[in-house]
Amino acid sequence: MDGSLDGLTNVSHGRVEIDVLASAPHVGLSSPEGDGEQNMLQTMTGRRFVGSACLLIFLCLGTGCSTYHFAHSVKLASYDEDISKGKAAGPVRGADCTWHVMGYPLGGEPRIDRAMANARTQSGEHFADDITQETDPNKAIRYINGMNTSWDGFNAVIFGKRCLVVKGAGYI
Amino acid sequence: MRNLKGPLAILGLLALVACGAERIPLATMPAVSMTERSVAAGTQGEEIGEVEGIYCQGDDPIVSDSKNIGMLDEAIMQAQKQSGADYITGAQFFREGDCVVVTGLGMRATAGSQPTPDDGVAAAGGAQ
Repeated sequence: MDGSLDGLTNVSHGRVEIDVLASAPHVGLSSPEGDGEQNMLQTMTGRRFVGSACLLIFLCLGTGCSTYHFAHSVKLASYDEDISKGKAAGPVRGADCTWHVMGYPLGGEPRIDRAMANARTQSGEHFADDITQETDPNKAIRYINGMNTSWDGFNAVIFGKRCLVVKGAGYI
Repeated sequence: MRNLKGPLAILGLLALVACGAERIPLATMPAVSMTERSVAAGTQGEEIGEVEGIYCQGDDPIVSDSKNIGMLDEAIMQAQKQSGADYITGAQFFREGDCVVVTGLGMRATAGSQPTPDDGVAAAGGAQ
């Protein structure tokens, strides 16, 4: 489950429970008074069904579904205890990736800490078992403002790549 | 087969409880904040003690909009809101079931360490 959180889970905030069957008349019970009444009953059944369906759709739209990310916009995420105002280094991006072959991952799930480490060194994408590069203290990012995460990659059936990407505005 | 149902159900329940209670480390950050972007140079904050924040899927978000929710964002904001901290040092993030937990040392920016105004640099790529 580690690292599999971002953007994967959609959960509706409000719980919508409509018993469509309970609100519709019993179609199987035909009326003995003739076809006219039966047609009217069928029309009412159809209207109630459409009404219930519309209500369900509107309630779904009203309550909405949420996408959960690791980070959406963390104001300050620092690599150092010193968070005094630094020099802007522009946008930073780092990713941690895992290759998949025939649906099987080669290594562990992408992790946010590794993606952040790559964002600091601006070393692009790294894969789960890569050896981390040494960080040049003069070039290393000290903190990130507005940090957000997203998933990236591709799936070509036989093989695929899945990356957790960290982005933000870096400061030295 | 019927005799196995009881023990299997108990084992399943135990596994569920064990998995749910497990804290999986996500990341460690020396300092985080949802209210400050940085502080003025040469200043130090005032320690206000250990803080903890937790955000679980389905909870009402504090800082995120209802469509895109940052789990770390919410956990940090909750810890700050509860403690009154301006930022958290030595922040450790864990995943616990459907929740994200942050623990660390709460810090308050004192008179000599006022937070700096926003830098005006948009986050790369924008919010997802």
